Amino acid sequence: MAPQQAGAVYLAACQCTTPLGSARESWRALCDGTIALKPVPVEGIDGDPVLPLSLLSPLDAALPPRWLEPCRQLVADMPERPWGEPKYPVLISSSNFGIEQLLAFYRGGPAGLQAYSTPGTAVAAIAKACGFGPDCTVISNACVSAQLALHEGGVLLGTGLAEEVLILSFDFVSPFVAGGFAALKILNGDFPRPYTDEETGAIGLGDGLGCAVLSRERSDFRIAGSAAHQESYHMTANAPDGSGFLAVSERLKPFCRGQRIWIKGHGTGTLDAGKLEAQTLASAFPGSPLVSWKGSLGHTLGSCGLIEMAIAIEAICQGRSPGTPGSPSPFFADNVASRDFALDEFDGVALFSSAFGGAHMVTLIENDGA
Amino acid sequence: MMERRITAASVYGPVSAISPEERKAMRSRLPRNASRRLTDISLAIAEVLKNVEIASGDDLVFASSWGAATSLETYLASFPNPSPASFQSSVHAGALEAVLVARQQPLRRLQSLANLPETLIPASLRAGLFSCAAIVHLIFAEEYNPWLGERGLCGDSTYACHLRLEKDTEGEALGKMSYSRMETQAAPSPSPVLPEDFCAKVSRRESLRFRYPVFGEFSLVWT
Repeated sequence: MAPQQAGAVYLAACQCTTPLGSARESWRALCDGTIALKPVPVEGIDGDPVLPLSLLSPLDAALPPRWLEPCRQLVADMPERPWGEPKYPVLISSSNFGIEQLLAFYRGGPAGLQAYSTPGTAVAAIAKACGFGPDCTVISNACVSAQLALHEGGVLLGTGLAEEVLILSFDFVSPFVAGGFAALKILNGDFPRPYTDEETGAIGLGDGLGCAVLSRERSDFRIAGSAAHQESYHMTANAPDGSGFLAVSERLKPFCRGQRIWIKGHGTGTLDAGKLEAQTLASAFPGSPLVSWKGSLGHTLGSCGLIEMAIAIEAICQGRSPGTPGSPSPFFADNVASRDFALDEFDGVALFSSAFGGAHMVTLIENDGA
Repeated sequence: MMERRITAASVYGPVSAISPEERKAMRSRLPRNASRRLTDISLAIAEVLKNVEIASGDDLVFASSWGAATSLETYLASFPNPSPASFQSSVHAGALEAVLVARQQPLRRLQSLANLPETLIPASLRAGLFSCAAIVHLIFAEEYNPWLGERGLCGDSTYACHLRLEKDTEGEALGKMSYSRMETQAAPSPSPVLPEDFCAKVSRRESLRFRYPVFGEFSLVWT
């Protein structure tokens, strides 16, 4: 067994499920430029809009919820441990949880929907289905939720409170969230084209879930660092000078130690944020190619950080990163990689996410032997 | 063993509802444009933070089982014409973020927990005590909404509680919060420490020690 680095956090396992399939299947499809987003009619919203969505199953506030069995299956693929018991904490993150069930219940659906309608009860249902013990923490801060969970997992390992940590993050689209983003006028029929200089912005939304096991046992992939910044400039806009993106980038740099990195950005398809992100990262990390996969997968909201990390790790294993599907030039900056590219010369990947309130998170993954 | 000094503590509530007069007074202490959309949970949070300085390098742990209940119910009620303002306020941590935006208050990391009440206290205290930041702010908050409350989908009252925890062991403090693992099979506390009870003890400056299965042993001792 290889010696452990003091305080090092390794990924013992990392997997995702998207409408394109597993991490490997999703990676391959993204390299091929496959667009998972489809125009989907959404009921229950005035005007019956047709919205760009990437779904694992039809929109339906079913019982049991359509996210429950996929979560159970994904966890079953992870190393078997006494998850939720002492030294094996579980961190579950989402920005949606069972919100689909709450909306349906509010609109007159059956009483059984109530049991899944809050973050805590949704997680309790998952814990029961997966046989977790009591140490389950529920983490939720919009679209940085999964990366907050990854950070917290690293802290639990680093302080010796855990031997291993299971992180599960899931987000499934619903009329609740589709209606909200449509009301914000950024979820529309113009399919998202991250980092593309165009007249209107558009995001798509996607179902997805990711799962990882953090460990102190050495493996091929190490979480070399993470950084955060909360702008608090505006609930749904970034400071126009890009200072928020710059602040989180500067906090990441000490972890990079001069290594060559590529960047998986947040890149949802909104124009202002996409421009700020692309241009700031081009300046902060010159020579680091930038990609976004939300032009295909849609925005998987609170879970995007972990889902896209699983795909990024698969990319490193395969030696090639997908480009930025759905996005033609011109781009906001020269760092955007529209096509897939080789990863031989890179030591790691920085994974950025942003959220309401100007929240920013970044996680640095280094190849420790891949 | 992990220990931090408590250098600030403030509690608002619990109340079943904030009176219109009090709501008006609370709003008057905030920038006008930002304050007019704040619901009661955000006003309660703003109240406990009104004398608190937060540095941009501080961490903050927000602990709320149900978050912005009023914004959530307002958003649900707005269908089939979803309200963008209510949507963005209903997303978890939005109740706190609205206050941070009103104060134009950047910070390092906002951790946001949404455990059910039975485990919210040990999970959030653990997150706060073991934060990497020298200073971490813990904020507990809930909001009562009639429709959700009658169905057990939010808390029974509106309240907020703030604690500032500092890693540096020197200097004056209001008290001390500490954590240790339960190395032996010691009996846990007879019942979970629920958030509203915890905040009431903070308000009364009442010391507290409890063991929680799996999470460990916590104590809060006032100077």
